[in-house]
Amino acid sequence: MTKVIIISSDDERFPVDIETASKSLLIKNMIADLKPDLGDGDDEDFEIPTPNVRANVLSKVLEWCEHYKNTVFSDEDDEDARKSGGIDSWDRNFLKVDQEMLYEITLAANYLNIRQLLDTGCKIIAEMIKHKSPEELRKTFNIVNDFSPEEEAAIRKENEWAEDR
Amino acid sequence: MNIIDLGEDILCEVCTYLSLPDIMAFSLTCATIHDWVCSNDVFHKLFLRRFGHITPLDPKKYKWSELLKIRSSKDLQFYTWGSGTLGRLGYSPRDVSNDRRARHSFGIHTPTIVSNFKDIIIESILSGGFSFQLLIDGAIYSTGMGYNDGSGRMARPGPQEPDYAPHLDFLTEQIGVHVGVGLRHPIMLVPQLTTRENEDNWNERIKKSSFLTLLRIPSAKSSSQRKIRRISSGRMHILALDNHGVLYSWDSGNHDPELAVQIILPDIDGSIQDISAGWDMSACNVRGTGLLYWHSREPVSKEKCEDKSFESAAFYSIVPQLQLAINFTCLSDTIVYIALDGLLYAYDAPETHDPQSIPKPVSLFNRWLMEHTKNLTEPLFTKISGSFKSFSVFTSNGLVLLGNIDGDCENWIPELLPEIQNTGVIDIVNGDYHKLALTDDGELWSWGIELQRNGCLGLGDLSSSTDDTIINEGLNARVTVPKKVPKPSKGRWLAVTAGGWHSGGLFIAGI
Repeated sequence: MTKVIIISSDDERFPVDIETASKSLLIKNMIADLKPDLGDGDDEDFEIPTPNVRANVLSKVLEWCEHYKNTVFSDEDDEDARKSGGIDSWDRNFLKVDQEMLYEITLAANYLNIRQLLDTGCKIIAEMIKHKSPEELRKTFNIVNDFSPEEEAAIRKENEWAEDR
Repeated sequence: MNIIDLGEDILCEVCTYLSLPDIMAFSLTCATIHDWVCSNDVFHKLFLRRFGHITPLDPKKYKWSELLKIRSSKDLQFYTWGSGTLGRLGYSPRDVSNDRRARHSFGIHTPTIVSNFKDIIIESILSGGFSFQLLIDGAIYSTGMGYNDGSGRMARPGPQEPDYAPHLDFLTEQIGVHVGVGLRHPIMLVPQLTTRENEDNWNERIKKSSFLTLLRIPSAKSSSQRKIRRISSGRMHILALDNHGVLYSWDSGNHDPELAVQIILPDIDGSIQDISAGWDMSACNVRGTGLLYWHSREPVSKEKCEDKSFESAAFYSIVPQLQLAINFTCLSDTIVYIALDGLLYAYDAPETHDPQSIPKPVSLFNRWLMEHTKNLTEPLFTKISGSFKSFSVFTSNGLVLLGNIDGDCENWIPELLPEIQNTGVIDIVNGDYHKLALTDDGELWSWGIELQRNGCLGLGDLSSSTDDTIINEGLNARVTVPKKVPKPSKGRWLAVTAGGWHSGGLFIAGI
């Protein structure tokens, strides 16, 4: 069976079937543009480099694609519905990773144009932000406060209107 | 790797899942994040998500953060006027001063504040034939004694027989739920949501509670994240879509009028994009299928009542020869829609399948569009709204045509009122016989007929007017050209609604 070979930035090769690879809109479009007869008895594999994605991240992303390869997301084009929905329990377990891996998976989903994985990554990051004070957020995300006390006070005053909206 | 390495685009995307206070807290962490997430784009997306696509005030003159601040202001007040029967105005006309009360009917002729919404952010306002609906934090509240005429008779698009009536013991259970995450500031009118502060205050609130009802969804759909995201009101029914794509109906068949029936569309897989509750029918736009409509649904069975799903299949039909409608409105037995070619079509929706019935172009409107938008590369109709027998349609160059569905659609004559052309009109709402237009500088215009001078135009007492564009015909008054609705004070109207014989608006003072 013809495979798509996805190559990570550190040159590791990941052979996957067309359905799995096509969860990435970027790869799906590349196949359509460059190798439209792929899978029609053509035995030659098709290599796609992903220079922005490390092997351990690509491996995780392809695990997600494999899991959902036969799933048609009914709300694919409905941004409102996509944004309103909750996080699937499988996705939540899948993204129980350290912060760095979560960011890298989210960046890879953005680069490879995998809309549902990007949405899920963003929702998980949003959950980490919710209901925290700026101080708690700096601690959680290791952010260095570069505001002067005066600047911070001015922004707090400017934001007052939004406090309970 | 740090969260900042996600970059501006992804962090702005993350913000679309956050509340405004969370975004503000996040923006205070460092200067880079502040610059990224306090952007016009983020505030624009937040605005659209919460308040929909009708933007009060001109976005060219205001930043989106300012628009969001104004639209979500707790100083925004709900005003109503028109017929006061069935408590629909949210107060009793008897409690209103004489200078606002209609002389010949139980109505109010001047915008009058519904005083119990202090500190509540109303996301949208709509009107049915006998009530207003307010969307607050993803939940629907209805004014008055109910959303129907109170007669108890069955009306389309409900079931042909009433829903299964559960045993009395079953009714004592809490079988419906409040959607949404709950209000930070409970509405005073809803006893089960209020904190009992003191006896006098409580009694006062109970007294007023008859003017507002919380509409619930079946408890089988209970979830703290479930929120109503679209709502449409017909003459005697309400159609709503939640954030999981589930469709609900409150109509004349519901055994408990406050508890929704979940509408099922058998054999339809696509997601519902938009909904419209018409005079006596309902319709929705489904991806991959097109427009579906129904005049009735099956009654909720004993089984569907006892499993608390309250599911009911709609006896739907599909508008033929149509894959996608850009925008549509469901009127009295007729659907009027804008197709992909940007032109206007109408479909006389038969109650039972009729192969002879096909959509027809609304020829005179389409011809007018071609003749008056010659300079545009793509002359298009963009948006349509309507009620009962009248509709309003916008063009891509800011013009508005009015129409009436009497007779064959090929003969419908476009009406163009000069007062509402190129004046920044962003929304037109339609009652049974009257219309209101909202402009992007916060003005309201109204015109049409006040039956029994019920006050639905909001123009004051018209009975002794000497204006020759205000024609008194017996007990009725007809206003032939749009007139500005007087504002309660210096300020702007930010939203408007009209239904039946009544109207309402959201007003903010001081800007």
